[in-house]
Amino acid sequence: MRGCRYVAVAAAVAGILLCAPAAWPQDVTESALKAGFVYNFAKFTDWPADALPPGATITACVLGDTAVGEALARGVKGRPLDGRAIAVSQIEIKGPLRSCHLLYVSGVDSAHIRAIVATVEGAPVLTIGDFDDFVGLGGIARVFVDTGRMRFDLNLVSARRSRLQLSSKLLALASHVFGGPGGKLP
Amino acid sequence: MSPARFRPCRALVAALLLAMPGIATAQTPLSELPLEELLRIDAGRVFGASKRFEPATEAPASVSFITAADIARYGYRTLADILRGVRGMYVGDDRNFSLLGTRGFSKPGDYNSRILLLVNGHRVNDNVYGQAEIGAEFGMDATMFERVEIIRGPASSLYGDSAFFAVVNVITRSGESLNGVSMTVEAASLDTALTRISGGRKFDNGLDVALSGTYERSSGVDRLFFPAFDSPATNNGIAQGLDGERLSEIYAQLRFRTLTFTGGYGHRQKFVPTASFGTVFNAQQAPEQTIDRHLLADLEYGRSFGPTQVALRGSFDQFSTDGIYPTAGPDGAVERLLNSALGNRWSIGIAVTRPLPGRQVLTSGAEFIDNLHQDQSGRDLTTDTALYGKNVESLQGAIYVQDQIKLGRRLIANAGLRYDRYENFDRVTPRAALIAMPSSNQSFKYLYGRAFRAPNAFELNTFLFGEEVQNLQPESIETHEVVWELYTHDWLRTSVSAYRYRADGLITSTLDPTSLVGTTFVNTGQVRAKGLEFETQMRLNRGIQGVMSYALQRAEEPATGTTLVNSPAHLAKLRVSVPGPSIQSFVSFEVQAMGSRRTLAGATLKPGATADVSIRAPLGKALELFGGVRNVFNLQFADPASPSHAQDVIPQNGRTLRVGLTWRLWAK
Repeated sequence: MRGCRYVAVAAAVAGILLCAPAAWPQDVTESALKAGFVYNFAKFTDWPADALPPGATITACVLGDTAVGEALARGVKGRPLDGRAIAVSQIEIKGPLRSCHLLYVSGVDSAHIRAIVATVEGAPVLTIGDFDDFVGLGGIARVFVDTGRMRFDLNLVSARRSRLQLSSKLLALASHVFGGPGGKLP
Repeated sequence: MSPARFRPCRALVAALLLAMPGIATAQTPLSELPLEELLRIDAGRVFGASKRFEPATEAPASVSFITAADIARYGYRTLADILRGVRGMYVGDDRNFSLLGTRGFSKPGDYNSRILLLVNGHRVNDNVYGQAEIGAEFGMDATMFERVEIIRGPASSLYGDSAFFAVVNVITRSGESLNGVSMTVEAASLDTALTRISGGRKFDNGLDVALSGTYERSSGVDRLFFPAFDSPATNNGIAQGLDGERLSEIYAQLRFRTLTFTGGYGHRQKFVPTASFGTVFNAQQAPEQTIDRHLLADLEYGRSFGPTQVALRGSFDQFSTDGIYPTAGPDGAVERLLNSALGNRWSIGIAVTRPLPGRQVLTSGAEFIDNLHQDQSGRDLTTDTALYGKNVESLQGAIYVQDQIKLGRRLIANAGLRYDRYENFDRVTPRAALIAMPSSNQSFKYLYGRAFRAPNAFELNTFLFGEEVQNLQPESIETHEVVWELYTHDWLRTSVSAYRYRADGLITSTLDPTSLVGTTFVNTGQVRAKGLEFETQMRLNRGIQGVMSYALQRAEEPATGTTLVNSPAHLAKLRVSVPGPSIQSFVSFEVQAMGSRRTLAGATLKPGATADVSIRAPLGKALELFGGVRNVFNLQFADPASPSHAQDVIPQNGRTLRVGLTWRLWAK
């Protein structure tokens, strides 16, 4: 078959193209993608020095989503941020939430989110969640999917209250920044 | 099927499998991607599998997506182009309609009534033929598609009628997605020209507006040769200048807060060169033609009450078609007959999704459809007299429920049930799934489902097919499927699935001398099929992406053990898109290979493969050049014809070229 010979040629061409030094990983599960965002939020956040001395390990806690926890643990393995290692731990709602530098929350209702926000009040904990009204309930960053892609909102009031400095790059890429200069509260 | 001939196509699969370890060595982990890149990655969520957004890994079906970026890169013009590239699907063309094959089933003469086509979750199969129109006749420009979800397997437990083999959900673009105004002109082979103006914006007050209008005309293939008509009396088998097509498409979407209005109108006129339905061949004075019109007006209200999401929907759909057929009159003169259908309906629906204790998510809803018109008529245009008229109206309603329960961290159980009430029958259809996720990057699914397809108004036309058709019952299908999906290194997705189905009571045309047209419909068709599908998708550095799939299927009639007509055993596909020489430019390749198929007359069509190439390249800030070559190697191939054709096969287009320019007049 004439056409089939061309298929073989095309396959060979494709094979060569695909073997080119490649590397943006893209085809991912939603959990892996969320973990990618969580890692990036950590990258663009400054913790107060008393909470995170130079060289100290960042404690990343994951509540209610094993898959995100696993993906995050895989992603941070051997990949320190500014010389800091990241330790990922799955945590329960009654766990030591205030000792987390970063807390990813999923699969809980608004009452639990209020309770979590109240528990970490004043502590420098970067709270991230996927609940619809997460930033409205006092969380700092909310990840969500819109028209097929992951987006995020930020709440600067909550960030300031937690003494966290979010980089301008993060603010520029957010879909909505609540409580920023001229910005309104959710 | 000739295995010896097909081997080069298998080489495709082998070559790519061998290439994979080479790619795997040089990957950057997801966490090291810049945030800008992460924002561009598809999150892999599907709506149509459960009437709510969920990760594809948790959906009770095997799902594929095509995104707006894919549509742009591969130069897809219609839904038919898109589905042709999807694992396990194939599309035939009888130079009138595009006919979709899935899971080895594409009976010549059927009109895609066993696929449910949705626009933003709303049914658009018409209510006369039950047809999912996927070619240009669909009436919506593919550049207005944000995503197309392909949800395999039966889904009548959620959607009722037609969700038999698969559901195709087209999600259309918002103003925010278009974000600007652009004008496109395009010229192509076969004397084809297209213009399009589209624009959209999300305003600061939250109002989101998208608008688009497209006009296209094509002369088609100037001289088409059909051996079945090769005699001096019928122009030696040559249909001259009878393959033209004209289409206009308008699309609008308005969103404000909790409301979304989607509207569309499409008008498509296709000249038919095949002299189908026993018409006069090469009738230059009164050419055979089909006109299809689709109107959609859909208003959706969606909001959350705490964790409960409520969606209310009201829609009006109208479909009309006119077929003009030149027939030989008693004195040898050509007479023109008109066959028309008008179908329209109001539908209202409510869907409620809420979490329940015990890690459950419950989706339930109700639907009510008032089919105002399901009318068919015939007219002799030469004498301007009515031949027949059959006006039908009907009501139908349904309720459904689906529950998802997370059993621990690694297991999801999913079950759904729907009750459909028609005027003459009712149906209860279940679906169940068990999904195990041994780790965060893989899932095993076991899927069980039943579905039905109701006899449509055309098949129930007692005037044409006799009183007996009133006794037609819905067709049914039962499917078992296992799916394994593996996500490796955050850049490679591999999926393997195996299925088995039994379809019974398929509505089949049979001879009946007592009916007006000499045929009628009976519930006698049966199909037993099994299949194995493999797909791997990779998205790599610098915007390189590729998908490769292979589907092996065997669909047979149990009574005789013979493979169905137009049912290829093998389908192999590959598409690869790589960055071009200039910034933001892409060159994309697509190869589709199909095994041999049997025709109605018992002939065997050879296996074959076609290759397409597309390019896109920005020229400065405001202009973009695009173009492509279809069927690059000018393969001469054909699709099986239907019982309404005198010929056994319908030849397809050879190599065609197109080139176009998009001018971005304004961008936010």
